[in-house]
Amino acid sequence: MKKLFNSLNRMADDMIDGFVAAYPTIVARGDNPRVVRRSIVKPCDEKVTLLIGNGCGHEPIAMGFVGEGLLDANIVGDVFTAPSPDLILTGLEEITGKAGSILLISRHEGDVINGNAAIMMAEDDGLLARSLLMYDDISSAPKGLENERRGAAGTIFIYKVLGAAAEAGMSLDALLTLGKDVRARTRTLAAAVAPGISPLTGEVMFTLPDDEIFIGMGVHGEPGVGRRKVGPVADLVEFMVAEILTDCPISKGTPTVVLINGAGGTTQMELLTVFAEVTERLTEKGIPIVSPMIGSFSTTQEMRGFSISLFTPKHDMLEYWRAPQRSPNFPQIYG
Amino acid sequence: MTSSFLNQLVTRFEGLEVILNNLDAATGDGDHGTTILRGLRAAETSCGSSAKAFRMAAGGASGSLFALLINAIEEVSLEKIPLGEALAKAADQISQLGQAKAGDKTMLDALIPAAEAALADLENPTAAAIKAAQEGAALTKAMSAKRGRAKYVENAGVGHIDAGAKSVAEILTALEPNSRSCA
Repeated sequence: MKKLFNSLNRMADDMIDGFVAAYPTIVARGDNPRVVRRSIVKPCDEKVTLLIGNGCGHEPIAMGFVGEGLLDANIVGDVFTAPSPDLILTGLEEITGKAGSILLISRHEGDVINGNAAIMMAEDDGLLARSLLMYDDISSAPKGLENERRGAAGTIFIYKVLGAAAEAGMSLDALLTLGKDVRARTRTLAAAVAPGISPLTGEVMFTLPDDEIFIGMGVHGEPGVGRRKVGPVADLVEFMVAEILTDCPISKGTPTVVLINGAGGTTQMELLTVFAEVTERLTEKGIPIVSPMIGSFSTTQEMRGFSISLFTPKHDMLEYWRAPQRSPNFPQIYG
Repeated sequence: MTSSFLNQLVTRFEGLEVILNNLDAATGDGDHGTTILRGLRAAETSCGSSAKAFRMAAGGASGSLFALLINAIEEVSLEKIPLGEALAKAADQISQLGQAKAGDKTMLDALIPAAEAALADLENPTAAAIKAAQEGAALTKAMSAKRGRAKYVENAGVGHIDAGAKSVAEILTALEPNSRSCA
């Protein structure tokens, strides 16, 4: 498989070179070259800072969401590999002030282990740093075991709502409470059509017969948990929306934000078709859609597939979701 | 840790990289061998703590968890602690950090039996640990995963040896002078 890169061990660094060169008024490298931070920051003694560490290869998430009204920094690990605790700690040291910081952790084994280790080390150093676990994928653990689920595209709601709230001056404890509430109101289910190619191995990340679709694909291309035969997208979406609403029923008239996330190799044409089907399903149930987001944000190379995330925001959460932001890759959210 | 041991480990894992990646691909993102090798290469060329160099270069869960095993072997090589005790301590730390236990189809299914065997065999703890680790790794084939990415997969990886358990067995096997890969 052809991929455009110089060498395996420079992939993350070369990408960051391009990123900071492209958006110098928004982002800059930190003291550590694997820390990407806002180029102009409010004094972090006054504003709670938001960070996330993750393996790269999922762009534009999370690096592309660093900016005003969103994340303060992203600690970039190697491809699909959580950054080491030592690397995360350098990011926390650089960007934690008197107001404190929150390390967002999308619930994946490596990110959790290394994130928690980094927070422990930061606390030992006297920093006011906390972690917030993010999880939303209903296929990864059954109802009732929500806190064992993994993080998927729906974590974007937490980034944005907390980013806007932190910018508005919310305190550390209030932000943590708000983040948990957003998490409780978010559900995601993904479907994969075809695998991506790992840049590390040059191999497809899973195999799937031509006439089958996997339900419950992980963001690293982990094979899914259920299969369906390929058919009209309406049937697939109807099934997925029903699964989500069974897991977390939404009552008639509740404003709901829909996020359709492409896995990297799925076209906007397809994603909009999915959105049209989701709209139809929710409308017939009397659930109004507000401020949707449609595009490829949390990707796994050229994997083909998508996820549907539903988020039922409280009024203030919806305001934060719609609040202006200035980052390289977060889209404009419309009413 | 002796540089010749690390050098031997690098050579061993160069040979195993693709095998481990393929084992990992059955249940995860298919890069376990590459991750471990990246860590070992950094440990080989570092002047300070092998475990820290390994952890930083490898990254991921494997970086932090296997660094604890590397640290244990480092302490044994410095004659700070006998092999059985060192492996048992590492197994405890890994269990706590990774929130995993025996039978979850993880690296612990090779490490815990290795620690127990080394503690029980006063004559030749190294050989006992190696044998137990290899047997433990083989037994993971029938297990279904409870931790790690593997647990999210259709049938939770049953039918595939756990890549982490295999790596533990390989690292310990390298403790035997003139050992060959158990692949």
